[in-house]
Amino acid sequence: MFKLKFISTRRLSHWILPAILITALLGGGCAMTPTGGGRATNQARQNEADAILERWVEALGGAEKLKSVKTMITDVDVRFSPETPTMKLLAKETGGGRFRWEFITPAFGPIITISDGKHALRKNALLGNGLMDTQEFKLNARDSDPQYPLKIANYFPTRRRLPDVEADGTTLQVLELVDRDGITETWFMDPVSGLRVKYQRGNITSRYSDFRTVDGLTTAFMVETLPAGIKFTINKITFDTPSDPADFHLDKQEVKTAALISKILDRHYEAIGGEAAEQIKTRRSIMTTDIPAQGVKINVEMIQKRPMKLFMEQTIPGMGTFFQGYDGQTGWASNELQGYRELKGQELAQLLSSADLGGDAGLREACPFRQYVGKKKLPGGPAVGIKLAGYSGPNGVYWFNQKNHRLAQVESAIITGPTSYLTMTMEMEDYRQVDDVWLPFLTRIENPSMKLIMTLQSVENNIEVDDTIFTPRTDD
Amino acid sequence: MRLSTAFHKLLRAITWVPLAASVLTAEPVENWSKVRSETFTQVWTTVNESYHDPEFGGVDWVAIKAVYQPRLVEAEDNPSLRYLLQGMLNELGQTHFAIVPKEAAVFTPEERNLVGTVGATFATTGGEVVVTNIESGSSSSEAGLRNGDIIRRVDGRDVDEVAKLYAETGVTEARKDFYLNQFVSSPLSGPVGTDVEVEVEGVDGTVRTITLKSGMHTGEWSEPLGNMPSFPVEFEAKHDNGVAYLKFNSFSPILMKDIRRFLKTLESNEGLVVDLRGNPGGLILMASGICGWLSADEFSLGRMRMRAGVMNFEVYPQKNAFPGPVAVLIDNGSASTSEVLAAGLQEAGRARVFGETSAGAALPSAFLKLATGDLLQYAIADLTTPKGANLEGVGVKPDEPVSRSRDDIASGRDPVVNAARTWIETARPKPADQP
Repeated sequence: MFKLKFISTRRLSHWILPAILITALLGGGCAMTPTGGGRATNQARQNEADAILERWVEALGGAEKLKSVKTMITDVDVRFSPETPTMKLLAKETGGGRFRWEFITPAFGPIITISDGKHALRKNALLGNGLMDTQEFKLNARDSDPQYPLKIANYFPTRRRLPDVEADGTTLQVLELVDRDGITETWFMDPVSGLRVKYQRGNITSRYSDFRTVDGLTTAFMVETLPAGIKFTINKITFDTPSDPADFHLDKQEVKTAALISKILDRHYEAIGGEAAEQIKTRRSIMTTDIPAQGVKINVEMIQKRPMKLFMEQTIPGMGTFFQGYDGQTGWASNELQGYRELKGQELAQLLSSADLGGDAGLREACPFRQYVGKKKLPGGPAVGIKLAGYSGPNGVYWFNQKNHRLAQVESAIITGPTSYLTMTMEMEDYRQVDDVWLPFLTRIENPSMKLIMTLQSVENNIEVDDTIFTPRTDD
Repeated sequence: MRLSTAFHKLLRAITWVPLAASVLTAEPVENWSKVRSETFTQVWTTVNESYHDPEFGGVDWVAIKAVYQPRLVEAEDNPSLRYLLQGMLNELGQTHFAIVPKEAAVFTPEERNLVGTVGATFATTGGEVVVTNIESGSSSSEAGLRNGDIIRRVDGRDVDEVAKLYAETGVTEARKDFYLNQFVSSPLSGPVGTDVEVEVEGVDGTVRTITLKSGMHTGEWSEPLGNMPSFPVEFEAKHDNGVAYLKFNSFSPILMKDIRRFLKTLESNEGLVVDLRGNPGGLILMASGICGWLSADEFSLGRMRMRAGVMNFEVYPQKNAFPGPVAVLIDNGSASTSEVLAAGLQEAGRARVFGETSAGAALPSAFLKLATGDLLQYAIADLTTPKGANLEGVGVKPDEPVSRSRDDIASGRDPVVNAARTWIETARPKPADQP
């Protein structure tokens, strides 16, 4: 059965790769006696949080030691999934928001991210270049600062301690930190070691383990991120190695071109109500997919819930009902003809892109590599095309209407099995506003072998959803 | 232009077969000229846009249009248009390109009288179409048809003549046998109440002419899948002294529950025979679904290559998949999905294949409704086995070639099943092997 979404690859933006890597390097904690803090005032809870953070600094090696660190070079193995080969990442970071990451992919060669302290640009000869957006840049500039643990109060004006939690038989202290943009992070600290062992920001969770001390500084040598399941293993970390200023130099023309493309994506984000999309917590969509040439009509019900949960039921008369889902941990498919199976690799990545309630609002994040294609006329008006790609490969060519800035056409491929794909052209029409978010109610999907029409029948946002619906249906 | 004289003659001889010409009348159609032209465009364009190979395997599809389009004016009614269009499709030299008449397409229970049965099944063996099974109380039974009888003529058409024409076209023996079976079976599945005169040769050599009347199918029917019509389904499953036997007449989703239920009843010390003889195929997803119950390991059944994209038919192992030996039986009537399943299991080393080379008619196809109301069946991809072998025009070669002769059929012997049973006896775990 076809899953009607683009290959969205892995959402490997700042939330995952660099930020997690860098926070991993300095993951730690700061000791204090758990108090429970149930009746504490805001100030008292902030004091408690600060005390824990102070202990974190001590656990990392102490303020004096951290102050002395000017640069870090880290050699990391990255594994996106158990099925994919290990890839190499070399990170060079210095203060002032300057960093350079060299990531070697087997398929696309080196991906280099350079920040000169003002802008950060990702570069790849095959996939294209992409300017890091402001939020992402801020986060990475922060996390790449070797002295970041000493500046927590500056980065997070609001800090408070939350009630402790139990995890795997261990009590963890919980901190809620709100940065200057109002974005909340939740940190989980080990009261014994003082180190940070878990981190949550948005729908991304990182777990830190294998702490080791190098040159007097303690670092997590293993980081795992969820829901993508990416594992980072540090091989070597060195401090204060002299670095070449050219490592952090950016070409002005490249930055300018990348900024223009970013603007197109920013306008699209605004035009479809990106901010409103991010406020939606659950959604129930009823759709039909018609294959007119073959007289087939498929009824589809899709339920999404943040963070990244999905249930989809597709009924094909004469063929049966096909279920798919993601419960936050397992992507699965089940139907009468083929039984039950777990989705992995590209199939899982595609499912996750469907699970993401942000939808097209998440394009900027999902596609950090971009190439300008040109302009063409489409039935809805002139459109500008950008080739978009994620870390695991090209997503396709996205054509944006130049007047309303919405997505008009996508030339991409649909993953139809573990090793199967179909090249498709998707045309989006009949945009309607639902709870301030613009959605295409009609999508025409064409391939030389088939033509499909996907019609959104109804959309309900922020409904009550019982999580059991996302549970894998292992029973046939 | 590839269309040979032999092919022309063959076309004239067999075009009526899928069309059931004896029962189809040329009803007047309003605005026929426009409908005819639209239908032609639909057929040519659909193939032009969707044929898996943009080079059309060396066939000049544009030139073929130039040949056939001017002849449209000669098609004064729908049967003659079908003849013309089928001729154009035959230029591709591939299976799964056919015009299915609307009169033979069943979509509702009320239409089931359009496809009847004379209560007999056939197989091609030794180049002859032979009766293999007769339903008691059916028209065939009442008319005295017997297992082992050879069908010489159907509705006045000589089977041997058609066989010679097939041979002249250069098709493989297996596919020729497959077509011959269809040549005989199709007119005998006309609308309920249709009389068809059949000339048969008995085991004793006597030739007689009988009339068979098409009756209603009494069993279950598949559900239509979009433009793919409904058809009668049959299912047989049994356990017999350590050997489980499974046979079904098509890969129809409606059978999946029964198949799965049966596969779940298999004991680990049993062997399984999957009898795909005479099974012309169906939904390819079912093949991978069935194999999921027969393997603890993931493997591919084959690869479908379209003009823009590929699909691999993966087998997803199911919990408690049957671990015992599996024998798959095939013959020249095993086509399409049957061949995919047999070849996939064979190449994966999960089954031993017994019988005769399969039809070599294995292209994934779709159905398009035409302006005339007929259906165009058209292949949308080519298909190769996991090791890259083509099945189309080649078929699956059995590991153990065994034929069922006319004498075997007449006397109720089945050497193919026997060979499979013998192998299973040696391959299945013995009580002493059990932990």
